[in-house]
Amino acid sequence: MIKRCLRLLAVLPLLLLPLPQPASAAVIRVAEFPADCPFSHRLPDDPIVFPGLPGASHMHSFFGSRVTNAHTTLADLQNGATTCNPSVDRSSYWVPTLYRDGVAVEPAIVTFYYLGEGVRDDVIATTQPTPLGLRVVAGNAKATGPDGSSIARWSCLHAGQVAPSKDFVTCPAGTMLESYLDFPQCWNGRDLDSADHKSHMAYPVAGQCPSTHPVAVPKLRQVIRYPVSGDPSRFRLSSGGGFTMHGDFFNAWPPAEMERRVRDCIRPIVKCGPDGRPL
Amino acid sequence: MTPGPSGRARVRPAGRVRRVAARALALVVAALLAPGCSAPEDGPATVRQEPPYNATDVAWLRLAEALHGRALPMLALAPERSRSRPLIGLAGRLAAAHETGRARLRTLLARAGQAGENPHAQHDMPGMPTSADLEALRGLRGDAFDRRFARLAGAYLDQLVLVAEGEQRSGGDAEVRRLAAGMARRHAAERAELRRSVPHGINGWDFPPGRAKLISDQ
Repeated sequence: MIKRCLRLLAVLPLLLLPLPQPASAAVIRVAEFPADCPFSHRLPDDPIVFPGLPGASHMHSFFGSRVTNAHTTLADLQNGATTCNPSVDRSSYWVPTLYRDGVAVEPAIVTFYYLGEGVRDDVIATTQPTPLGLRVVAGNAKATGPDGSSIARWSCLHAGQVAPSKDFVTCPAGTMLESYLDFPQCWNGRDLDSADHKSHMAYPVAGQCPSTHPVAVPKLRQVIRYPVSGDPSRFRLSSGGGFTMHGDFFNAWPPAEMERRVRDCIRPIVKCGPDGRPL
Repeated sequence: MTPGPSGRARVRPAGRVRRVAARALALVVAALLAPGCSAPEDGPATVRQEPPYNATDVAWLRLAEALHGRALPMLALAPERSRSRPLIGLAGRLAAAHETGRARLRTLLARAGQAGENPHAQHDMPGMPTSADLEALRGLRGDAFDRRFARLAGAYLDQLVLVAEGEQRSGGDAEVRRLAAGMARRHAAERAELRRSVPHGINGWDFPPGRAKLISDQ
């Protein structure tokens, strides 16, 4: 362990040498890399909240890994296929299924952004890779109304005039209903999961991670676009109203791929594509 | 909202020196914070439970306890609203047995170090009668009550059997698995009795084999 730390410190002088410049004269100053992970399958399963109990959960729509069910382990994800671009991302992501008039609707566009924002730039520069095997639930499936207990927000793609809301919004014809959800980005540095599947992670306070959760990792922003618009009274989630929107994340990025993106995109505040190269 | 997640700004090569310095500083901090320097190399693979409990044991104990708790107010409605003697008798026996079962589940939860508030108690899960269901039941009498009650109680028992079977297959602790096996048998018998106690059949509830009908996904 000590050897590893010394090795890390030994390479530091090398970093003071001139950096290779990208071919283009400028990079986009946003700490970001994405994974586009379309819909894979639907099951009333949840390997984080109800591991080993198939059928115990409300209906979930799964993105990314094609193999996720109630029994899924990290090894299953690492050995399984994915819908993601980049295909190296074998993570599993899932949300409660959206219904319109009682019929399941799956999203047309599903993007997971890994971001530096939410903490100060000097904290961004210390961002650590999301640990392999991390499991997190964000949002509040038990929210009882569009109040402080819910985090997710709803808006309309290509209709910025519609104010975002914690509950479903009325999107104009021809636009898409979309859901944004930010996961907590401060890790306690120790646990890959916790009894409530949340308390090993925390949201930053005043631009930095709290002392209980000192390790900044990329902020996961889940952006889901559904090919529906119009009257929100026709919509519901398998977990209830729009304010019960939540997201589950089971990280199975290969550590080297995650580390490279954190090093090249997040810490230096550079916007990258799905391949983890600057745009 | 715009398609991108955040705004954009561009930096010129002039900012390079600062970036190099910032990057070096970042790496020093990162080296000190690196998991290999401050924490065990291998994190726990699962939620840390008191052995011999595994994550399935705790998930099942919580869910079964919450299901029992949410069904009790529904079972209490039968005596005043049903006119079927067998159904009233069954509801009474279910209420007593499930109160006892719930206490047993709570004891095991406490032993697993999970004595706090049940996270599923206030949450509509498959098999649970919702507050709207209970409201509707309160307004019904006779056959109309019996049909609705039997459908909800059937979905509840189906779900209890389903998740108890999951615990039997995937649970870690022998005592919890034994409890699940006993509950699965008992709930299956209760389900059969419920079916017999509603002679005119139950609309929308056909005792599907295998996976229970999920009431929140109908």
